[in-house]
Amino acid sequence: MSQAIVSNRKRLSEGLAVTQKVFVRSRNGGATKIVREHYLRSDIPCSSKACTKCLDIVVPNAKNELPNFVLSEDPQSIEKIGKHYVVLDTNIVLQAIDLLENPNCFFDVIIPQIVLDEVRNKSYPVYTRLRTLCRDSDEKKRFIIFHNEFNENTFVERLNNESINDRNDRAIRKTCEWYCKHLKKQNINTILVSNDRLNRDATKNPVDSNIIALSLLEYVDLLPNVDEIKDSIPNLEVSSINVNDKEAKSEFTFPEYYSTSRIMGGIKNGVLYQGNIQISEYNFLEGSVNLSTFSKPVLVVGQKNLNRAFNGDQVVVELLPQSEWKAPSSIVMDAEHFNVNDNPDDDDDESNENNGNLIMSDKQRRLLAKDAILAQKSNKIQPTARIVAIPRRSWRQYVGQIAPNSIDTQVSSGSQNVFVLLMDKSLPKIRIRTRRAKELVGRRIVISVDSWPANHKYPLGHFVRDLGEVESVQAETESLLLEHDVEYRPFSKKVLDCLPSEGHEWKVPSDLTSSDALAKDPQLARRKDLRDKLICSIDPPGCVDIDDALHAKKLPNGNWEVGVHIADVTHFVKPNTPLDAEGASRGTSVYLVDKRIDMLPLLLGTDLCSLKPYVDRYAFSVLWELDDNANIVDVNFTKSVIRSREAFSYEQAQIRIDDKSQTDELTQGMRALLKLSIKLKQKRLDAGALNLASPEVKVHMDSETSDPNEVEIKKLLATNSLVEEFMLLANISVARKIFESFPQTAMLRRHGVPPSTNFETLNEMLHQRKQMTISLESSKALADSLDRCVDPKDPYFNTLIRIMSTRCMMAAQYFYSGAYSYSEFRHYGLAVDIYTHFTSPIRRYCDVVAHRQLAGAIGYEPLDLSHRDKNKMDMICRNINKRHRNAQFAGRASIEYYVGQVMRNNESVETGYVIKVLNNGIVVLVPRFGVEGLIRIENMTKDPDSSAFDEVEFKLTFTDNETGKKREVFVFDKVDVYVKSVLDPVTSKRKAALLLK
Amino acid sequence: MSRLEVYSPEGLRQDGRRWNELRRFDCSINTHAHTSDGSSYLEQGNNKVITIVKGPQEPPLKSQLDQTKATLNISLNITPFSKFERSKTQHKNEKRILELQTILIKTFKKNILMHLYPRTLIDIQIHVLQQDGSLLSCLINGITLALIDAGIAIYDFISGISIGLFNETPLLDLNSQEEIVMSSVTLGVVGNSEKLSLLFIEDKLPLDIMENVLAIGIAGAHRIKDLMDIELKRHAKERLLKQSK
Amino acid sequence: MSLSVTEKSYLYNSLSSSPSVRPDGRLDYQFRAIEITTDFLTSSNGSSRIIASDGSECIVSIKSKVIDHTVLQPDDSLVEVTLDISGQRDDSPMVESISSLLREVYSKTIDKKSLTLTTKYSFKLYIDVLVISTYSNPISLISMAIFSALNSTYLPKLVSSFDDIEVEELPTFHDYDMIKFDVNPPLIFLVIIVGNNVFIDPALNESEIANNSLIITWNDNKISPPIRSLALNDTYCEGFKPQLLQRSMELVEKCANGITAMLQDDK
Repeated sequence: MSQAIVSNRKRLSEGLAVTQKVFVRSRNGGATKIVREHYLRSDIPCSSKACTKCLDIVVPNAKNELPNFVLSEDPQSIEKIGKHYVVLDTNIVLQAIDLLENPNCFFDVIIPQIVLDEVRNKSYPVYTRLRTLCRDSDEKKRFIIFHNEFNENTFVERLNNESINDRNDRAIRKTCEWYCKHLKKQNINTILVSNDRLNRDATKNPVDSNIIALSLLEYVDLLPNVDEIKDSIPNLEVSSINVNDKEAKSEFTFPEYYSTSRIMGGIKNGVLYQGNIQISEYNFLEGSVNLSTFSKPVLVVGQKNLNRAFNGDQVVVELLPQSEWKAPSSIVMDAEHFNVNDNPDDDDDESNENNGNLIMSDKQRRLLAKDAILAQKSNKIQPTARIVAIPRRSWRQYVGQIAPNSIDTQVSSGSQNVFVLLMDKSLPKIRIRTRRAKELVGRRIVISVDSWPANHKYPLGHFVRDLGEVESVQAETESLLLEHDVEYRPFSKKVLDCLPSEGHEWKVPSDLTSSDALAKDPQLARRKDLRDKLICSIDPPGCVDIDDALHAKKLPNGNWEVGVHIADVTHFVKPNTPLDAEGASRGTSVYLVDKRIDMLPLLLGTDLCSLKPYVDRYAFSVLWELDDNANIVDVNFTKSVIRSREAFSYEQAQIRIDDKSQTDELTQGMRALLKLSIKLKQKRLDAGALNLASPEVKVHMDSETSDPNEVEIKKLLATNSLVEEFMLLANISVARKIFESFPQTAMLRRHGVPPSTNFETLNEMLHQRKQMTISLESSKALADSLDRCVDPKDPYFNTLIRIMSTRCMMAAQYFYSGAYSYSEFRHYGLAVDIYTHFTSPIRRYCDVVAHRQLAGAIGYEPLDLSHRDKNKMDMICRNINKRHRNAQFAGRASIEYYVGQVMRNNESVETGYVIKVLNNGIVVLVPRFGVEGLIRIENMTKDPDSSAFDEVEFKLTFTDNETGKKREVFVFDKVDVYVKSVLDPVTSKRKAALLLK
Repeated sequence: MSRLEVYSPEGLRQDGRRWNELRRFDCSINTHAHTSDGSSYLEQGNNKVITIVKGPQEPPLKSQLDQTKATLNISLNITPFSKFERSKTQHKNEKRILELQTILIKTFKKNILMHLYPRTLIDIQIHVLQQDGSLLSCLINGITLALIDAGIAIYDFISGISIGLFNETPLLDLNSQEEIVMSSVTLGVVGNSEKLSLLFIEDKLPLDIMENVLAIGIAGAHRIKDLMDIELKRHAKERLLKQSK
Repeated sequence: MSLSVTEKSYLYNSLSSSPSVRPDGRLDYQFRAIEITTDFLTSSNGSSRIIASDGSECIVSIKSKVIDHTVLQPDDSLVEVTLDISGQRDDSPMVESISSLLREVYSKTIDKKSLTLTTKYSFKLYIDVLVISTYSNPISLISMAIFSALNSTYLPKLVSSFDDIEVEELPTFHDYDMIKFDVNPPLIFLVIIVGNNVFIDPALNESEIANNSLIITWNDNKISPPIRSLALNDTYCEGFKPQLLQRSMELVEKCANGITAMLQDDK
């Protein structure tokens, strides 16, 4: 949708005129004429501090604040141009947003509103970054939005027969011209930077008056620090710059994408389908698209059919003829084994032998053929499709490293094309142009993808940043944070300014009723003083951010008063503050092996909010009356003041409870809690709660050197489960309360019923190998059937099945209550009808929202609008779901890295379990390190061609090297494997390499 | 969620207005002199509304006759072509239309000196030719103008205005694009006073900021009242001029 | 308006005499003054507002919608006309008879080809007529309003390909360019017969004493069906001689081109 303007202005009053925008909105083949009013005004300032005129025209906003003048009165001066401001064209923002964010170039930049609009229509993420840049660049970068479309001096009407792009380009030039004239006296020049030659050329037209227009390259060349930024210039269609580029001659081309009208028609008529593509983690030439019309994902196989899709892109697919349908491949193929030796200047090497649809080496051809034959035999044939359009790219910044063999050592200086291999193996390598190729070898670098023209085999990108040496802790940590989109920069000043000015000296007033304290915080009167309760906290050892504390007390009627006290984070984190915005955007704290990335500043997390022992703290308390069988008689919620008597570790708590000699009231209370928690747990299990498992391990660090030296599987104590049970109970009680008060927007968490197809393969394996099955009738049935999956000879077998089942489950998700019907609120894993997260507000944003909603529900303070608005809640939920997932992945990646480092020092033979059998290898899980790895057939036998794969029995037969006899490996087999850590030569990622003993 | 900038950080709305600005307000009265006793044509932004007042007249039906005061009837015709997408149905008996009619009747019953016209019917017909948000407030203004043209005694002007709330920022006189993304309230304000003859909220609005929203709405309504007053005076002058010729 | 018996008798005599005298002094082929505004509804594709000198007023909106014409029944039309006369129920005889006439006239005369977009898709036109006030039969006024509205109609411009038989395509349109709808719409005239005289565009008082009246359609520069007779009152109505039909048609032929030119000129 774009806009056009007709009809003339009508003056309404001094400084305000109105005109009409008329355009056609085509949607789903329809065409609707739309008319909107468009007001033109004279009070839009130039925002230059040098300007003397605009100060008189500005008007305040709804909060009675006058606009800030941002552009410097003494802007950067460069050769030939002098002091200048920059007006950017849309193409520059879209192509070079990284460069615009670079702190060392682009100061005093004017973004015309029309450019902002065009950017928003083309790429919302870039729009968001641009807006952030304008918001946060006050002092250093000085970016502004100039509303040229609403300014009566710069608004242009479309001429007859003028295309919308031409009109918008003219509007941008008009803005530039206006600035030039406006600031002529101040001797500040305003130049246009555009990569659109036509737009630049138009400035030479006398009608447009002579403004200076430069391409990005030309502009950067004039900057004093050109050398350090030149590499970051986006890599676009190179043909115009580099005529000798062999690509230009390459006969290789991807199929062109379909036109929008064809796509819309196709989707409407059910010939084309739209979905998100997921590239297989084992085979980068195979992707699958989940489509609602098909029960199973549709496969997309081969480079041409994938047609330049990246993992996660939104794609439109077209089915291939039935003759090309096939089963998902059971072979492993990754980018590193494919065209490793490509020359980045020459990638047409196999185009001659390309006679089919697919471009592949002989090796891949053989493997694929084998696969195809297999597929015909089995009845597992699945429809395949090809990608005909990519409506939305998932492109972001990626971490990778230069492929050393792609460097031309002959080139002594100047820039050259090199390949960057990305850490994410499901993505293709990226071609970048850099002058620092040699110095960047062996370093982790951040790159950005710019384009993927049809005649290029690999996407084009540009260098953004050097993270450091491969395998250095610093570079690896930063790269995994970047790869998982975790915000790890220190909190900004704006955020820190929201903290109490007393800092660590902040204290709970000792007398809650004193008039001084009440004057400072009138809400104090509504807090309950619970400092007399014998409260303690139980956490992992060394825990500093104590979210929760508990107490239990026998009541005169024989029932128990049990309290769960949660850190009162929302006392400090008020809605609509920069602090809240930062927390909401981070969504969760991220726990790495050696590092914690906090959601909220340290002062809150580890001090003011943390329910440390022996000091008064604000808390949000859930108080139950429970009978002896842990049934809830009554529940109350209140903001409170507490004083924790002791902070236990799980182990200490266990010791204290077990120690018969301790008979003080606190210990009695803890024993009562333990007793009640066991009953709660039993009730939960009876209701069908699942007890799943993950192969989680813990890395021990050498306290002196901080080097990881041991890996340990996480242990669980009864006290773990004590705390867990009460947290679950608190979460459930809170969920009910906030849902009752805010039926449309309550922040909740659900866990869907897993579709039976998820369990198909696992069940087939179980049935085939062990004559067992997992029932999916209900969560209770599932839990019971899991209990029955026992191998009397191997106690670990049950855990293995639980681990594998976990992977078949749906992911739990945050949602707002208006998004689903009540029956769908159910948390499958916990077997409760409603659930939320309330108990860890220091490290999860969901809990912050739940706290505010609960405070609203009990009338403590009115709930902020943003938590009563479905759209805003939807945005919050989407974000925290994504952040939660990313945090988990980042955590796992961190463990993986450290496990790799541990194994580097101790190579060993370990017990492993075969969890997947493929055509050309097996996947083995090693419980001791919680790692799994692929063992290729080439590494199992010298004679890979003699191997045979039996899909029905999940069996791989091959010739054993030592004995020379046939050896069979089945799924679930317990095998001994050599575990060592190797540095992958291509991705430079250290990982566990497994070899069958 | 709309990805458009409903209210930009620079303080401008999608159509270029600031938070407290009204849309274009063009009105004229006595537009259907042949057909009616009073009439008005109002363009408020892209809303276009014709209001026709017939009466006080003898009611065609005995049932409409009230011995002590006048009977007020308002029929609202929202044309099928008034929105961008043509609506398929004629909505004459739609709930929404009946509701609007009832609201309007209740609002104006209290403002017309009904006891001055016993045993008569005041019949108001409204034709909405085009709509672009804040329809109810527009209808109120159209009726006020037409009643004055008809010379029917009213206590004071009633001026209609809508105020929306977007992230804490109150926005005056919403257009259709704005109306769908935020909660809003419609006010009918009596003359230059701060008395409300109508307060109509269909969505949730927090009570704590209601007062502020009302104050802004009332100020906006007073501006509308002034604009209507200007047109009435202009029209009166024109008539006097014609008569003196 | 109610006229006394003597008034009616006087009117009848002056109209049926030779030469005839119309109460407002017009000649038999003359129309009353009208005022037309077009294009005033910006969100419609075409619009017009017509006000006759007696205060009759009519507003017409033309809107288009893209439809799949392959699913239409053979006699389904691409033109839909709705009529709303203020103060009249939708099922009143007057509304029903005028609507049926309008449907017949416009759904048949507007060429389907002019609305075809691709082999699969076409525009469907919605002609919505709102009569705000009327004193005599508004059919002629309505047809002039529709005529002006159609003549000021602009339709979205197709930018995707015309042929979508082989590959499914949804039509896409230019973001803002619109094309003038090329059409020569029919006009409908109302002629009354008084004695041996015929008159075009009768005023209300003339209608009250008409012996009969004829609705005559003018399309493509000639008189074309439908032609209908219509009783405008109860007291004077009677049959008419075939010659008078001939005379009526001649009268229409005499003024139709002038009216067409005037209406086309209007924008």
